[in-house]
Amino acid sequence: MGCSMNVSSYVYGTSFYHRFDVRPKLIATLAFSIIAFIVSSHAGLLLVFLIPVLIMLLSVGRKETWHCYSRLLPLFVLIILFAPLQERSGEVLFSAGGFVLATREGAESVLRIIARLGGISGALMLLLLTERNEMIIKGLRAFHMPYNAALAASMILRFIPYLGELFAEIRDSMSLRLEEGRRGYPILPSITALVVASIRMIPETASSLEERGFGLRKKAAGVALKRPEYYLIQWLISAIILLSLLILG
Amino acid sequence: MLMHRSLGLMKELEVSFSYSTGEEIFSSFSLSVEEGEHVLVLSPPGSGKTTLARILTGSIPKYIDGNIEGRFIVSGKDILSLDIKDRMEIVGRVSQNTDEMMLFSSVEEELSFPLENLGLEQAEIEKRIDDVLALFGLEKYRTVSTSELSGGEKRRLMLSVLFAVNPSVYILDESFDELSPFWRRRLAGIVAASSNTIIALGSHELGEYSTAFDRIVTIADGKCREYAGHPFQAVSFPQFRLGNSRLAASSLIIERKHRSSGILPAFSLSVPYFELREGECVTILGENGSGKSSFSRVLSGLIEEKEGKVEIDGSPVSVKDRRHNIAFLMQNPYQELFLPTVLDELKSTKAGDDAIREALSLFSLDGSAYIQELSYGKAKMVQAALFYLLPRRFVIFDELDSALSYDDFVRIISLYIKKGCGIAAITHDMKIASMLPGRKLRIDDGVLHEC
Repeated sequence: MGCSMNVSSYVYGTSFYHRFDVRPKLIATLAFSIIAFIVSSHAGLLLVFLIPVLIMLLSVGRKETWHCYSRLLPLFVLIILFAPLQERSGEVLFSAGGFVLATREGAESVLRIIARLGGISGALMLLLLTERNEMIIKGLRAFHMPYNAALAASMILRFIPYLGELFAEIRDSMSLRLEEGRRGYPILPSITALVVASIRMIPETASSLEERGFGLRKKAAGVALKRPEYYLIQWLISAIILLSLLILG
Repeated sequence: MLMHRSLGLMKELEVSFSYSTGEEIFSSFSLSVEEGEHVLVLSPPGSGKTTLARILTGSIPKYIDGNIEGRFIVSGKDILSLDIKDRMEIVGRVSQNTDEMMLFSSVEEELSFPLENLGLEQAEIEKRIDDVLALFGLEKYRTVSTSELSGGEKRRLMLSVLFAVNPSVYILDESFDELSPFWRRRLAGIVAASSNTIIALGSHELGEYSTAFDRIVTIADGKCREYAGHPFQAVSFPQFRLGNSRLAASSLIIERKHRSSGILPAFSLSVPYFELREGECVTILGENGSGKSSFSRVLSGLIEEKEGKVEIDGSPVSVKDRRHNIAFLMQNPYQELFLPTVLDELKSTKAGDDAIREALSLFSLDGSAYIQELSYGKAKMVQAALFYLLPRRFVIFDELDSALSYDDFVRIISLYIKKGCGIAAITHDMKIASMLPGRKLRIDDGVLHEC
């Protein structure tokens, strides 16, 4: 809460990726996510993981990049610990008392999952870090997404991080009530409180939407996105990176 | 002295309302407002002001169950029979709890959404956004994330939304609260200059009201009554009992970057020295967004300072340990109340049954009441009772006076003084500031100093 509180993930910047138009950015993110499942070579998977990391480092710096990927680390640890146990046929790498703990096939499967999960999550985070929510929505609407679907997407972009922050608020609030000598916060009451607070938000949000004319819409305002300088070059760069990845993979 | 203007057509409201629980709020509540008239409804928390605002805009009974009877005639049309969205151009409100009205990630999106729904041309939308941002001093925040705004700035943003839509009737629910004295005066001027019909709702008298409103009414026994005035009584607080403990902060630098903007400089607050003794009271003043809440969060261990140290009794105290020593009553009580009932909240302090019973009585609370059904002011009373039960030596009140009557405010402060706590009270109300005992501190140009 406080300093870390931010409903939008956007970080102001002037990097080359910040200057990219939202349309090639959206298509590149989508295409990258699909290609991540197509590539299977070691070099291709490494690139799937590293490309978003590198662009993120160049766009928002080391601190923000670490902040994003550190959230994925617990998930990676769980995958490394448990995924090999699911795939125990093949060349044995580790065993204990005759029980196969890890095989080469299992290890490769883990690396594939981590590369794809890390790559796709990184690409999405990169989009949110370098593009304002309203521009993402304008981009989607420029691709003829229906107004209500775009509004729902906008609300999701607003409320999913908000729920995370609400949980942080609840956690802080709970920690302010702790007895001396106790640390942390009670997890179950905090989760219950989050659910209650979220349910409470539904009528308030619905009412607020209607009070500001949701459903009234007298005329659909057109979405006109200007073409930035080097617009075609931006498409070209996106295509080259994605095709190279596809060929290597 | 209240102002007077030339007025025209009448807007007639007559309503009876009770919640589905059977609790009656209005019984033949009747209010006539002339076209362009500015009426202030001044009554204590829990008397039904926010319920009235919700009835007028339609969120009651559509989203909150209740039995409603009556009519609100505007331009010959009964707007209570209209759906919420169809009332948008007739009546609009600024909610007391601004957080519940925020829908989007940026200031510009908040403003453009209702204007697009009105079907306005893009040029007109841009013009209205420019105008209201200038009116409420938010030009530089246009592309900023709404979560980076202070409480007062959020209030100004929601006022901007209302003024941009420009319905016939404005409902301002405690809209002067959380604004700095400068913005209160400014809002009073804006209201005074407006030709729209304005119904403002408030819990206590403010000096700024006299220049903005033609008439004051109150709510008593579910009915609208003429306001007879609140005789000013000299406030006397209990005798201080100075203790031995001392909370101190020195050479503090608190910094926060505006992640979403490249033009706004990073927020920075410097606190060369701050001291609060157990049993003492200090008042902290400053403009909206000057860093009062951030300073409170640092002292109470919710965020970390960039530089400097916080000590209790001469020993440095870690961020986490500050939470066990310093109570922080946030500006918005709902940020600290998450459990279903008042009793659940009080029990979460692990206080004994006798202490909880006493707190319920001292703060005039009903233990079985559901938090989500409480008025904003009552929620503040629960928040105060909650921290009262915790063994904290120091307490920070972040704009406790907003949405509370003076009587309730004085009662809470007196209880904490009797408890022997060191009190830091943040306020924008100069009347409150002058009535509070002890030293006065102020944040000017990013530095906290003694007045």
